[in-house]
Order: sequence, then structure tokens, then C-alpha cells
Amino acid sequence: MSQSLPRGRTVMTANEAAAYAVVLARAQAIGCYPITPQTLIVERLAELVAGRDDVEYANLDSEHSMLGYVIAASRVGVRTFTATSSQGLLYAHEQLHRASRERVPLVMVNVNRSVFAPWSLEPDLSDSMSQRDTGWIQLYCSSAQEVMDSILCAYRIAETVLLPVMVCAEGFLLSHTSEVVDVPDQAAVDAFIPEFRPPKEWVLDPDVPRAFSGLPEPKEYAAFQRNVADAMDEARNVIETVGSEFGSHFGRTKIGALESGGNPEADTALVSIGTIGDSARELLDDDGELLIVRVHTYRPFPAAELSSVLSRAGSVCVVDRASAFGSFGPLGGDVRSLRLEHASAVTNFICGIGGTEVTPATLRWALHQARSSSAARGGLGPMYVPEGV
Amino acid sequence: MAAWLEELVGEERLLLPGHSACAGCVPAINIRHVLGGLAAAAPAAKTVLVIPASCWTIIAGIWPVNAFKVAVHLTPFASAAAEASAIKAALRLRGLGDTTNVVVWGGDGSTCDIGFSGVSAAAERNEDIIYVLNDNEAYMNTGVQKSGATPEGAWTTTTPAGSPRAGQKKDIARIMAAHRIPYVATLALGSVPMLRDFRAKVTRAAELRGFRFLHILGACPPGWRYPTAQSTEISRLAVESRYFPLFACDDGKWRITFRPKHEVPVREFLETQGRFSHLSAEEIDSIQAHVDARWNLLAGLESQAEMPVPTL
Repeated sequence: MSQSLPRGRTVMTANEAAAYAVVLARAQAIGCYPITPQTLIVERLAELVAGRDDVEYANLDSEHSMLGYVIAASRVGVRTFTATSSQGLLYAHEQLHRASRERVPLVMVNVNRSVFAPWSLEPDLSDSMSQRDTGWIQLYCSSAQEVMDSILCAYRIAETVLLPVMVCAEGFLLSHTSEVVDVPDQAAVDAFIPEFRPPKEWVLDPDVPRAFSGLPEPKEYAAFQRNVADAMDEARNVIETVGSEFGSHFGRTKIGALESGGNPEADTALVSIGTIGDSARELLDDDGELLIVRVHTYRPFPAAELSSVLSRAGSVCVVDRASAFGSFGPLGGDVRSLRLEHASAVTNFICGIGGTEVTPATLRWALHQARSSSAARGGLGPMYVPEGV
Repeated sequence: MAAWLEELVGEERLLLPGHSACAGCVPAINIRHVLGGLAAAAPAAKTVLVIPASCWTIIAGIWPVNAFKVAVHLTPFASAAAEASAIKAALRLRGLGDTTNVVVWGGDGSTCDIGFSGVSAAAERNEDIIYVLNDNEAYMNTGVQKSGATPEGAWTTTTPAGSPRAGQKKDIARIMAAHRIPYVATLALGSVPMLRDFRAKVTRAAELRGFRFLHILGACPPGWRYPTAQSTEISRLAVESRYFPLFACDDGKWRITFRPKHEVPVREFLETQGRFSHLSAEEIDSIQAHVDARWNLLAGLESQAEMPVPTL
């Protein structure tokens, strides 16, 4: 028998919040393959949908098959869900590229975990950030509540622009940490997420002899790619609209492109992503000359919003939690690409790799370097924060 | 002409003329009889073809053209079985599960090598799909490289003549039968009696539910190195030499379905193709011994106790 969902404020992990959000969103086809630290999501979903004949739940033989499963189910016009981490995401890499060009509105949770070799179960963002150019919308969360809310928004966003959405949450820090989460009513979610009605010509119909994703001429191949870029641009507005609507519908903070705090006039700005953005809030207690920005939507990159919020900053310190070899970190490189009127330096720090702890002290160290060290300013690459800072 | 043959001549072609398969492509004839057989077995049912990377990625047509009169879902090399499972599942949710055949048309590289895990897993889940292995015994679309289904002794560009022993052809039909699926059969088109056997197996697959595996031999003129006009003759010799025995495992019951009236030594089959032209008399004797041993093994399976498959 399927279990009932919790309602209202309930203590749960981000993995549980993800599973509940997926059921509330009425996902119809769920593809499963276990990997730590994601596994609890698909385990909880299996319990929640057991015995239901309006949901198809499949145990696949790999993440590659699993992504193929949800892509094909989506092609037939049903709402899907899947989740993975780290090696699983990389194993499915080929399917990620394909999903965006097939314009299937998948929603997938990636519970961020460091990448082999050597082995690690601990969180960093190298797994999903290295999938940056696969054409997926990427949302990074900093709380279990945000995981739930992002998934609900993700279905709206994905099904509006017909692009897949990856909701990212750091392993253990979020996946296995219990917090209070406000779970909305099914009726409220139903009012927010309409039934999935994809364009007719987009759906595989046994009565219509159409071939999907056949080999095109080069010009048409290029158009497939360009259409994804256009949809990404369209997604900027859709994310904004859906976020605002979400805020008013559920009476909660808007989930948009980014979140900022502290002194908007400050000379120094700290830009980060994921749970580091949450840790950065503690810096505001004793630093009145600091603006903090947490990027929620990494793709499409919120260039306009960031340029605006950083327009007065003289020194911008960007903290990445993903490895970069031979150039800047994923977030650092993107922020450096912005034209910031008043910024004399955009420095990039890499920390938290392989689950190394990132505390307010780590961030203070980075800020100190950014404010004082000429070596870091305008350098040719990021600075790795030494372990143990 | 027999009435049943006349009916076949008149049946609707679901692979349209003008497709881009090579001259003499046996799989192009085989797929016509798979699609035609399914349509004849259940005229109200529709078929969805799921095609992983292969020659058929191209034969299916230059986008947005479709060479088939059925819906086609193209997939990467390794995920056709999982995607066919998903299509069937999603069609069930849409109330179309009972009226649609979901059919994978996968090559030997896809089935025996890169996608093997997915095929095995779909069989283990007893997904309600028909998986067709279109076996031309090498990676032909990329220009004839060895696969797990390449027979012993065969030349390919990655097993040139004189290279060390490259391995035995994977016995994929028996491997699939070991999954205890409802139906496994081998099919080849080399003569009118073989066509009857072929169509009977497609019909049987259409009647059953669950994972059905059809292993079809698909002679390939450029890959096997023979003149295009000999395609049917070579398919006939493959069966008459017992190089490719026609059998079935239906609900756990093994049966050799076609016992050649006119048996020929395997040498006669091998001699027709350039890929075997380098073989010595001793090597051909060795292949003959392996062919005989496999036939005896299959014959032994006929009297083996039945192991009925679980119902879906």
C-alpha cells in the first residue's frame, strides 16, 4: 500500500523532501538506479507509489538506461522523475546532451557528490557543474525546503520551455540533514502545476508514423542546437515568472535566479552557490561592508541579475565548490565574464572539494585574500583554499 | 503460388520503397516480414519501432523523413531496451498499452556488447516488448569491425586474416532463454519453407505477452564480402549447413523448428563469402566440429524437462 504524505511543517531530510515533492507533482514514470547519497529518494518514492496503477516505477540496470527510460517515457507524453549522484550522472552523460535536444521536460535531482578518482562519498559540485554545457537548466539549493520548492517549480519551468531541469543538492549536507520543511497541500500543488500537455506534434503517437531525432542535414542539426539556446534564453523569464507565482501561491520566498543579502552598497561582494551561500550569511553578523550573493540558477546563467546586483562592488570574490583544472572555477569564470562597471578585481576561490569543510572562517580567509593580496587579483586562475583553513 | 504467399505479396509495406539500405541488404527484407507479420497477427494493433545506433539510424531516413509507416524512436547505442520498456510503460498509462507492439530493432553490437546489460535487465523484468536482434555479425555501419556476435574465423577490419583467435560467437539466444522469458526464437530467410517458419515465429511473438526475443540472421553483402545477388542463397546455406539453426524456446520448451531436408557441410556456407576466404582446411574442420556440437546440444535441449516461464 502506498504511504500518505506529510502535511505542513515536518522534520525531514532533503532526500525525503525531494520524494514528497515528486509525488505532489504527480510524476507518472519514475526511473530508479541506486547511488549514495541519492538512494533514499528513490527508496522513499518506491514506498510512496507501491500499489498505484497510475504510476510506473522501473528499476533499471544503470543510470544510462535510467535516463533513457525517462527520456522515452517523456517522449510518449507522461511526466517523469529520476535522481542520481556523481558517477551516475557522469555515466549518463551521453543521455544528458540528448535530453535537451530532444526537448524532453525531465526533472532530475542530482545529489552532489565528489567524483572518482580517488573514491569519495562527500559533497562537492564537480559532478553537475561539469555537465554545464549539456543544455539542462540547473538549480542549486541550500536547504531541504528549497529542494522541495525547486522541484515543484522545476516541473512548471521544464514543461513551459521544454528543457530538462536538474535540481542540485549537496550530499549529506542537505540529503541526510533533517530540517523543518513546510509541505504544501496536494490541492495547492495541483493548482500550481497543471496537467502535462505537451505539443501534439512533439508526442510519440503509435498512430502517426513520425521518426524522432533522425539524422538531419548539417543546417538542421545546427538548428536543433540553436533552438536549445533560444529555449534557455526563454527560460530566464520563465524562471522569474514561475518563481514569483510560487512565492505568492504558497506564501513563501521566491525561488529565482539568485538571492542576495547584506549591504547592497558594499565595496566587497562574495558570490557563491549551494550551501556555501548559506554559510556566508554568518559573515554578515560582523561585517557591515559586505554584500553576499547566492546563485540559485546556474544555467541559464543569470548574467543580467548578477551584473545588476554587483554593479557597485569594487572587489568581487567568487567561491566555487567544483574543481577547475587549467582555468577558473565554473562560477568564477562565469562571473569574470560579466562586465561589472566598478569592479577592479574578480577573484576566484575553490574550496569544499571532496567534502572538506567550508565554514565562515574559510570564507573570511578568502575575503581577506581578495581584499589584501595582490597575487590573487586578476590572476590567471583560481586560488585553492588550503585544507584546514 | 500458394495462397499464403500471395497474401504476403499483397500485404502493405511498412518499410517504404526508397529507403537507403544497401542493395542485397537481408535485414531490409527481414524487417519487412517482422512488421508485416505483426500487422497480420493483430490488424488493429500499431507498432512503435525503437532503433539504437546502427545502419538503421540512416536507413530510417534523413530528418524529418521517415522510411517507415510506423512511429520510430531513435536511441543511443546502449539504451534501446530500457527505452522500449519506458515507451510501453507510458503507453500503458495512456491506455494504449494493449494495442501497441513496442519493438526494438537492434544490431548485434548493440545487443551483445554495449547494450547487453540493458537487454538482460529488460528480459529479467519481463518487459512486455519484442526485442529483435538484427544480427549481421559485426559492426557493419562503422565499416565491419568485430562484435561479440562475430563468428570464429571471420575476417573483420579489426580481426584481419591471420590475427590471433578472436573468440566464439556469443550464444545470445541461449543466454536470453536463460532469463526464463516467454519466447526466444531464431529466424532466417533463405527459402519459402524458411519464410513460413519466420512468419510463424513473428505470429507467435505477437500472440504472447512479456519479453520476446527474436534473433534474426541478417546477411550483409559488404560486410560478409559476397555479391549482392547471393543474399538469399547465403541465408539458405547458413541454415542448411546448421551454421545458424532455426529453433525456439516457447514457454521454456525447446524445439528445433526447421530441420533441413538437404543438409550441407559448413564449408559450402563459408566458401560463399570473402570474410572466410583465408581459412585453412583444418580451420574449417574445427568450425564444422563446433557447428555439429551446437546442433547436438540444441537437439538435446528438445528432450530437456520444461521450465515454464513465470506468467506476466
